[in-house]
Amino acid sequence: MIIKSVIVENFRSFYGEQEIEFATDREKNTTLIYAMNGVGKTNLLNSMLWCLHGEFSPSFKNRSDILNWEAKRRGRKSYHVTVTFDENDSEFIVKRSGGDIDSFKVFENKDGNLVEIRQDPRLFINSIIPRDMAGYFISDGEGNDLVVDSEGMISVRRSIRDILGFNVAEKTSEDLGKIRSEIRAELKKVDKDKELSDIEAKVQIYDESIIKNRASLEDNKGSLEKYQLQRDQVDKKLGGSSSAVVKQLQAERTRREGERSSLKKELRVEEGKKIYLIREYSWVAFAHRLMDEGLEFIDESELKGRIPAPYNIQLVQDILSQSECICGASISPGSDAYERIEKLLGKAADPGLLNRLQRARSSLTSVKTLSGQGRGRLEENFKRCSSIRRRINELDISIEDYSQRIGRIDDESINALEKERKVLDGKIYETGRTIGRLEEKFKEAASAKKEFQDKANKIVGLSSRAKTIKHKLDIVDQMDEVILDALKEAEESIHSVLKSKIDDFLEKYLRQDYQVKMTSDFKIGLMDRNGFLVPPSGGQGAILSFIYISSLISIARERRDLKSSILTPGAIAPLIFDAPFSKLDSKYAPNIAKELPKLVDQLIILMYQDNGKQVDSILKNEGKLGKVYYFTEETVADQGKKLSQELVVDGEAIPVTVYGAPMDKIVIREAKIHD
Amino acid sequence: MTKENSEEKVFSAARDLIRIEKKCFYGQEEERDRLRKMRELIDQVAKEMPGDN
Repeated sequence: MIIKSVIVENFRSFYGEQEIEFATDREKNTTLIYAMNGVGKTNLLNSMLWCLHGEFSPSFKNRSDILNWEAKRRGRKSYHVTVTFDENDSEFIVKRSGGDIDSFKVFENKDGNLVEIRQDPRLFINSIIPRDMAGYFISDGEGNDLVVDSEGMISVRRSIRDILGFNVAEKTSEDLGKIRSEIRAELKKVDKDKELSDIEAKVQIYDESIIKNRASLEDNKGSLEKYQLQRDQVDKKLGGSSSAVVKQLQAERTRREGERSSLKKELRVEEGKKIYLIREYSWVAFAHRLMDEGLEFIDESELKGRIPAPYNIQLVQDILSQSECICGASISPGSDAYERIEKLLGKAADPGLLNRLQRARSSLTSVKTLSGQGRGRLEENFKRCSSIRRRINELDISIEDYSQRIGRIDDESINALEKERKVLDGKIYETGRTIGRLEEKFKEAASAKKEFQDKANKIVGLSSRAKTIKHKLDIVDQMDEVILDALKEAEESIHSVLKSKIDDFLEKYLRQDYQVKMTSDFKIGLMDRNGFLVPPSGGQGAILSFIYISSLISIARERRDLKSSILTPGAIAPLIFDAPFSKLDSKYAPNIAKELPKLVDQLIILMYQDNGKQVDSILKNEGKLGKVYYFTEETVADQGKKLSQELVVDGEAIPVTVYGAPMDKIVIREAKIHD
Repeated sequence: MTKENSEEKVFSAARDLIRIEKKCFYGQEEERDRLRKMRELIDQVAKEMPGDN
């Protein structure tokens, strides 16, 4: 989606019709819109949100009061917004009216003629920029869909699934399940022996179980994320308590909980290692007792034979079979000479047997080496596991002690928070266990399904109709496998891909100060140079949100353009940021301004001009500045002693307040940028 | 049809299925249309690909 223009009419601070044509060039992809504070940046951003989805950003106030007051005074009763955008080489025009006229229509521009689309316009817009995802792209920086928790971490799992289209892929797999059931029902009708349809009925049961488990897993993971965020909020309140004692106790508890959480992760890794070690060395443990006995038993000297090398059993057998000695004398079976030579077989060396026994001896010798090695590694692992468990137990006791001490504090609000925390802890624990159980069930069902599928493939003598249906079933299975493999690969790799993307950004511009921290449960945060998580106050939360969402969109773009990628990104829309640099330190703004346009197809920034942050000159030097607009506030009031307010664009001073105007209104104008 | 061609065919059909799904995921098309389109695509691929049986 590329937004070409927006026309606002009598919408909040905009009287009459005002239009902005955004930069649509792939290179010069950024439109900068300057406005003084309180003049209408947020109104413009909300006009677009409203036009597309009939909604406003969370921080938008007085939602029922949209009609411009001057327009209202002059008898107008409705307001209108038109957004024009390109999608897949077609141009669409979205028109929404409010007030007395309540209308919402979408048109397609077909060779200059506007043709109203036949389907429900809400559903159409939802398919281009889904309502649930609009908050990621159109952000007023206050209440966007990315919530920074008390520790400065953003939970990004949902946005990843939305933007990269994992949800859609999962739904496709679910639909394939429905189609598979239909095909199996068809098979049942034609498979007279019932052998194949019986097996397929079993596969169907496992399929259903897999789908059910997958949906349940997603639900539980979502709930876990929600409970964790809620608990973070409680912790934030406790940590910010006015009581110094509570503050200190909470800080100590948080520190210990952090340590316990890392140790639990380490324990899981060590337990995994233990299974690997047992698999690797268990046979050695069994073989160890047999080893000494075996080595004694294998006496190679007996097998070397008494006939000097290279004479061996083969030579003797050849002489007997040819009935002729190596000297040329004839040796007929039954003769004395024949019998004497035949007796030599008992003493001749057997090289085949000798070779096999040498290999057996070598294997037994390696058991000796491996048994020592395996024992050492397993002992080390057991020791580490028990040491971690001991420390976790100590931490459990200590955390419980801190909880009790906080619980004993005579303060109703603290007690209520502590109670809430306990409930959430319980939910987090239970949900975690449920997730573990479901993952286990999922694995079991997948392996049982595979077993039955293999059986089905071995059936012979099917009717030609049954063969055709079975073939279709196989195709569905193959497609589903491709989708699920792609999904699995994408889910597994997104962690490192996203981290490396954000790290690239930080390395280029902020490395000296910050690094990204990303947890296995998809929470990201900024760490300062001392390794502490940066609190979300100030501009750091904003930095993290920008970098994260831009990086994610960048990944979605790369995948969209990749032929080998099967997943379709959920949406790739322009990034529209309201005042993104206002909270940022001056030293970061230029760098962020430099990088953001590279990550997205189209960038629209609404901001107050702060010359210290040099955003426009940076964008221009980088070849990214497409268009600049500014809002002029026209007022009937006299200037009097008031100073003229102006902004500077491309070296040119532009007044942004006009006194003595015929009426009060905000006018949007385009500023010239010199090449 | 070679094994590579078959794999390519399945891969491309799987991608088309996701595209059909995406159009309906946010409500642009009705569910029955989506399943009908998917069935048609599967039938077509099954006809184009030789069966092992």
